[in-house]
Amino acid sequence: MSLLFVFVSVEAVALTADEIVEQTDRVRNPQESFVMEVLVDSSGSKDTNQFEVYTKGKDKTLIRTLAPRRDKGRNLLMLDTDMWLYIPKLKRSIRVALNQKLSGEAANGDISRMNWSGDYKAKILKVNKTSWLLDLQESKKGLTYARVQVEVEKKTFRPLEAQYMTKNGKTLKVAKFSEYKNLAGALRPSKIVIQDAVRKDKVSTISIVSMKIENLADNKFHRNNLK
Amino acid sequence: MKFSTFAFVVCFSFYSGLALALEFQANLGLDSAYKTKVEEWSFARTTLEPQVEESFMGDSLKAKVSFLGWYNGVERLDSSQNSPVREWAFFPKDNYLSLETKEYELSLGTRVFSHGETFGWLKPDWINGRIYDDSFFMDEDLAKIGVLSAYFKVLFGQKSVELFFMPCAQVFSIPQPWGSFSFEKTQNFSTACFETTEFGMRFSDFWEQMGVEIKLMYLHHLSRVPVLSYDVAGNRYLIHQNEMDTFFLSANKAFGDWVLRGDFTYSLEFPFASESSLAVETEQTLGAHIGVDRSWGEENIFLFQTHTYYNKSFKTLLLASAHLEYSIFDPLLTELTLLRGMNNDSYWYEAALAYRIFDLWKLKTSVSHLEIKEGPFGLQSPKEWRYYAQLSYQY
Repeated sequence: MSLLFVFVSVEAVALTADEIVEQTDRVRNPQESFVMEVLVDSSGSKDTNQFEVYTKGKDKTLIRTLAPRRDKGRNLLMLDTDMWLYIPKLKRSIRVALNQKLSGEAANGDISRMNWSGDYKAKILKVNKTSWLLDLQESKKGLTYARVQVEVEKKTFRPLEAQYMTKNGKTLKVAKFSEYKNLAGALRPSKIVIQDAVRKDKVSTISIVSMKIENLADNKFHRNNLK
Repeated sequence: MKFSTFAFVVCFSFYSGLALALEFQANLGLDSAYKTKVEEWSFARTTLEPQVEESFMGDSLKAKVSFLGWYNGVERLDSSQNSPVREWAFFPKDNYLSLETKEYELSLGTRVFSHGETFGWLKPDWINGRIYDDSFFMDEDLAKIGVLSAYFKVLFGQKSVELFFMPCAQVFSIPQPWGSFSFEKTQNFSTACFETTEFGMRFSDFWEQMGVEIKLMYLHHLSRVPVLSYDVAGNRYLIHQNEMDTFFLSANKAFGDWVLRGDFTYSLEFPFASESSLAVETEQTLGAHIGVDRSWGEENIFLFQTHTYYNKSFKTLLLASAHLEYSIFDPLLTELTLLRGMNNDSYWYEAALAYRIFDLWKLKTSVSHLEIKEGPFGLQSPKEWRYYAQLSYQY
């Protein structure tokens, strides 16, 4: 289905902002439950972080930390806007705030919340010749970013660039989506570069190495099952 | 319960893993400590905590083996003093077989469990016994001893029910004679397996609409914190332990960057030292540990907690603790810790610097200042400074 959307021109079709966001979400990731392997490289760090990410629906995500070795087993569970972190040393999962950083400039929400629809109320700020500029305002409390302004390519619904903002419109980070490749049956961005809006030298690159659709049981997303 | 019994803390412990055909984790630490008062002593401890895990039948059957061992090289600065710590020590950790499905888990063997929402120090994490060989330089979680147990867990929705059965009494591991004092256990229960058993049940749920996680537990157990009385005639300390029942309620809720946590207990037969320290009494006791913490960045955290016990005899025993971990830059982490008695002048401050040299090497140094106004255990000097260094390698 997703491929269809990629090749259908929609310039003549009047879409609402929320519909555009939904289509963009379909480009970013499958709507079924899926598993992906993610690498995160951050400026100022010699380590590459490796994660295995399990996602079911819009509100269940489990992130297993595979590397670096010292962090192995520090697994994260996100249920809607609630998050738990398993600490191997403590042998228990602890409740953590959603905005806790995963690695470098990448927040937990950058990997665990890959759908904007449902989380944000969208409106079209600007219509360019080849793209829309959308303004997304949080529709629920506890999100990593209160506001997002994203540029979406009209022809493909691909997100090009997103500015992550405070509620008042102060830009915190800028994310660029690129290197589209076939992941889980559709062309999707495999590289997301997140740059601090003030400290331009603070950059994290999220690389999606693989992605596959998989039927995942609900109990995989139980906070007492994180070890 | 005396303030002194809360002094079994200083932090070190590390974990890492290497995925082989067997899952193998270990940490090796070299610790050096120096204490500055009358009973001055210093030691260098080499610690090893290996862990091997193997899965069979597509991860349904797991076998885990781990233990904690150390060697203490003790240098006594005062030749009249006995060693406060034994040279060699070996403790079981996780050594069990477990059968796991999507909904169930059943395990048999020695195992380290965890309970409580608050962190460190005084949290009522009482399923496992702890190592009390030496009163310093043992992280509370590292000090847990694996308990021989049968354990069953079932998950349904966001709920879970866990059953614990420990057939053998977990008695204290206590210090060797220290200075002119000796320690002796007193207990009124049999230590034979299946004669004194510990057991419990824990239920947990997450109320999604309210964002509140709760845990309820009942545990029939042996008292976990050593309570001491002084035997004048024998010039020795008696370390008391008794059977008791405790009901636990733990809860947490996140508010933006902050998380509020609470652990509440109602214990029957809760032991504490009498005012004169010459006897041990037991009473129904309420415990409340309430904490709030804020985490930001990758490694920064600030937490503040209060710890209260209440019964008819000591009314309230209130302490406050605060802890800050702040990463100045990537490999360098600073830590500040404060534990303060609110109704007395006892305190413990610690400042630490941890530096990750390479991926798996870490150097940690700390200085702490301790003053205990009450309580006898290992605290013959009212004020003291301690210096500590640890080099650890994980593989």
